Amino acid sequence: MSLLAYLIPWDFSPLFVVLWVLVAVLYTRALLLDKEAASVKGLYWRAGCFYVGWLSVYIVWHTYFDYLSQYMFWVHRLQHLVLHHLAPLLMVLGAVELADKLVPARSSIWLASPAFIKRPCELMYKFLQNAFIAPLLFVGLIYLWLWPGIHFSAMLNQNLYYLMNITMLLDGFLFWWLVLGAGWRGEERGFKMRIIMLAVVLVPQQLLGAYITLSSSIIYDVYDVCGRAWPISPSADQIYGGIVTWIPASMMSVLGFLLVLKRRFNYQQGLNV
Amino acid sequence: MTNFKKVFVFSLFFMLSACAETEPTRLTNIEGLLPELSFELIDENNNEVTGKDYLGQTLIVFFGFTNCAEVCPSAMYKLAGVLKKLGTEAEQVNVLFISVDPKRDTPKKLQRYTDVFGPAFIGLTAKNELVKQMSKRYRVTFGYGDADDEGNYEVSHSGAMFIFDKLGRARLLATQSSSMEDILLDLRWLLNSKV
Repeated sequence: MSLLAYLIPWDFSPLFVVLWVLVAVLYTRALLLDKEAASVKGLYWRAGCFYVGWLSVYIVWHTYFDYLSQYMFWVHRLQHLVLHHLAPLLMVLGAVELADKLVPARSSIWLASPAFIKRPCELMYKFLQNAFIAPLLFVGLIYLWLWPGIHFSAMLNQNLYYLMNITMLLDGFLFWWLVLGAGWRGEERGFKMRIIMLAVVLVPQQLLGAYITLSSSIIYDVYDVCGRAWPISPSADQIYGGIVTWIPASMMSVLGFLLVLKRRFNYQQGLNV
Repeated sequence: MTNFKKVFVFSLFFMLSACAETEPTRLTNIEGLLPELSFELIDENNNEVTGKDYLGQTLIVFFGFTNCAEVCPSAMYKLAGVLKKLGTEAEQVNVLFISVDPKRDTPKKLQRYTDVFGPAFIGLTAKNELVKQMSKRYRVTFGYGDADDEGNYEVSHSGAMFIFDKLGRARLLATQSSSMEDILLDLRWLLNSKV
């Protein structure tokens, strides 16, 4: 296969392309136009994080990788590692200092919108960003989409497949925004809760990953039903997929810990000065 | 807080219940999960055929290849056994064996292969791209291993049997592990149910 063949989307989605390019345009605009952005500490590093995250979502969603994700369990797990963990974490990290400037005239349009639109959105956002709900939702979604019956339907039905990927990506943003985003109830109180949230999501993911890896029977037979992208034994596919769910996913929590600790360190240094 | 949890539990329950099976079938009920039967392929007599040509019959669609040593013959023998047990009702059923190895499976070769299992079995093939399009529609894929010195190669493919009703709607899915009894029972149920 030529390089071009790898870049051609398996299922071309103009809506995804438009939305995803818009995300990059808004971020780049905030970077270039805002004079204060130049003063943000470690700007190039942050911008790099954002663009790597942005590109990785595009690759797993809209190239040959998407085909492989549909027909190989371990590639599917890798796709969700990017959509739910790695890419949102990197993008949030890159955008956290620029959040207020990202959406043009955000406040004026938002404040002018009628209450029947604004209020439900605010309530929903508050609900999803609740410190108890967010980790539950983060782990719950992983378990939900890996529930054998639901996973079977999601891999067989195209609409469900996209619903699965969209919910994973959105939830990734919500969770990592809560953990790494600007002031959760202020720096002082937020610190403990951020650490607890990361710890809460760590163990269930490890248990699930270990269960899949060490299971002696084939849990996800949908890949036998649909066929695999290349000849590989079903148990090997499941073991690799289990390991991706188990180890790199929990390492993302460890990375989260380090980022929160570093932020705490910087905050306390700021207080001492 | 309790209200939040209630809403969450309720929505989770709602999502799970949406995935529950609607019919008391032993095979996997795939009603509404896959699109209706539609394809443009070549039959054993080298004629161009479409999905519409087979409407009116209950169809079992299988993606395989004639050089297959294990999965395809065992599935075909199982289906042949089911059709035998169905008796006269079997006249309303066709098995479409769609080749995922068009390079080696010529229409003639397919005919010799399907004749072994009975007149209800029909072999279909096409250029690789067209088979790929057809299989993509039903969310199945296939891939080729490296060829050995004699040019033989392994083909990974779906082991599933998709069962479509007379109107061409995907209804049931049997896998390699489905028993002959379960396929027979559900096929009989489908043949006798109003479509």
